[in-house]
Amino acid sequence: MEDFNNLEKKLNKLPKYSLKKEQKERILNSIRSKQTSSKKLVFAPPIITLIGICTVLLFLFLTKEDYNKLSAQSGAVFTLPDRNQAVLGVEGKLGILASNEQFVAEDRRRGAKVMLYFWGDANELVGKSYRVEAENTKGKKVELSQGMLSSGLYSEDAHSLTSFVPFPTEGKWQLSFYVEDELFEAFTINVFPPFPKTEHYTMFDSPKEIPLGEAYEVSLESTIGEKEKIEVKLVDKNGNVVESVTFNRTGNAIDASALQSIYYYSGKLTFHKQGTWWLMIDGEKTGLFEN
Amino acid sequence: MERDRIEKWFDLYERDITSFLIYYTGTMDVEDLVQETFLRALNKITKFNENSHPKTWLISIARNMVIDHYRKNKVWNKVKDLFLQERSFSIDTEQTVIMNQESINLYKAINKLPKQYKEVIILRGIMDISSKEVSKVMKSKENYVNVMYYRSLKKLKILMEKEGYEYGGF
Repeated sequence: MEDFNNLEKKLNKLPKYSLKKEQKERILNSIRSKQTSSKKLVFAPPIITLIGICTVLLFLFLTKEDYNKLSAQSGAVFTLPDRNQAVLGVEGKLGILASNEQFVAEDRRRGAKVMLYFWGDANELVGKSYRVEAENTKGKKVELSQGMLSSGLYSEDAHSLTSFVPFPTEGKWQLSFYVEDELFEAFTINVFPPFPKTEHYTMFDSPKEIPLGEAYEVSLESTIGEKEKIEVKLVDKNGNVVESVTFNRTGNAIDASALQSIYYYSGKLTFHKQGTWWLMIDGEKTGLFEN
Repeated sequence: MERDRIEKWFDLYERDITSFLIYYTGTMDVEDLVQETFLRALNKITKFNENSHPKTWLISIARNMVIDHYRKNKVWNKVKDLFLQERSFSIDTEQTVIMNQESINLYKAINKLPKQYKEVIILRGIMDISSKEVSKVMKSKENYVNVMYYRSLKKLKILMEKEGYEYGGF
């Protein structure tokens, strides 16, 4: 008999999925309201299915342009050859250097300081205006940044130091870079869900980035800071407290945009598996999140 | 009372049913199927054998529902490849962003398995359900499930090697 232990381990490690909170609520509501008819639209008769498919195909045909717009290549992380910097974008064309190339919805920090590198014809780039537009699969558009391009610092032909407006929602976003209103390059990225937060505390590590089975140093930002130590509980979706950890205050700063003091806390949390969780931070509850 | 029980099971096993349906149908859009599973369970709860595990019973309902659907709708069958291809695209592009490359390769290889092999890999391998419980879901003998699982793993390994995926350590 061959040994398939490793393959079995890998199979077992494949991600498990859970519906979003609002989807679960919808289902619970239909269970509660006794909508028990098994003749729901899920398995509609063939003719209705056919009409539905035709409608979808017609819709896809009519919206082909928009649909294509969102199907740009995926952005990739690559290292600049002339300096040891990892950037996100399209090699040889465009790169974004940020404190962390994984953007998180509603987060200002990771987009607070962004360097954009352009490669191309310097004469067509330097001194020209640019803008970065983001569009998601639902057609929501956000202008992330705009400005003027300066000459290259290293091997790139033009650059700009800027900041990005936070992405309003998680999911797939297409970033389109326009120079003088002409599309220069476009690629898609995956934006993570917002950081878990309570009324006063915000975690600023994305749970999706925390390695499994490791006591990982997690940082919190707080608008209240009278306590030197706070208690953080990791709770699974069934309400079982998996871990209770004391977080220590590590410093404070002034949030320039809101002109208020913010305090930092840190401590180590361990996620042993993927799943749905919430945190009780100093007696305040976060929403459900997945790691 | 029955509704309370289904609600409790929904809380406990929604993740299992959602994961099963996503891997089984190859699409992320399974909300309606999950809902239908629990509504059917509510309708049939008087037939639930108290000696059974609710998770196994719910997965059986989900599986039979999908099979019935494909069997009954011949028109759907003719166009499903086109449609499912389009839908499974979303799992490739969006969800796999959070998977590592090795998991993506494994996921793609699983999708190339014959239907029965794929089914037993999802239930035994990914969902980690015992052979005994899988035999109840698939309405087969436990021994047959073990044989199928062994063949599926073998086939999966060959597929991975054929595609040139790196997965050291066998």
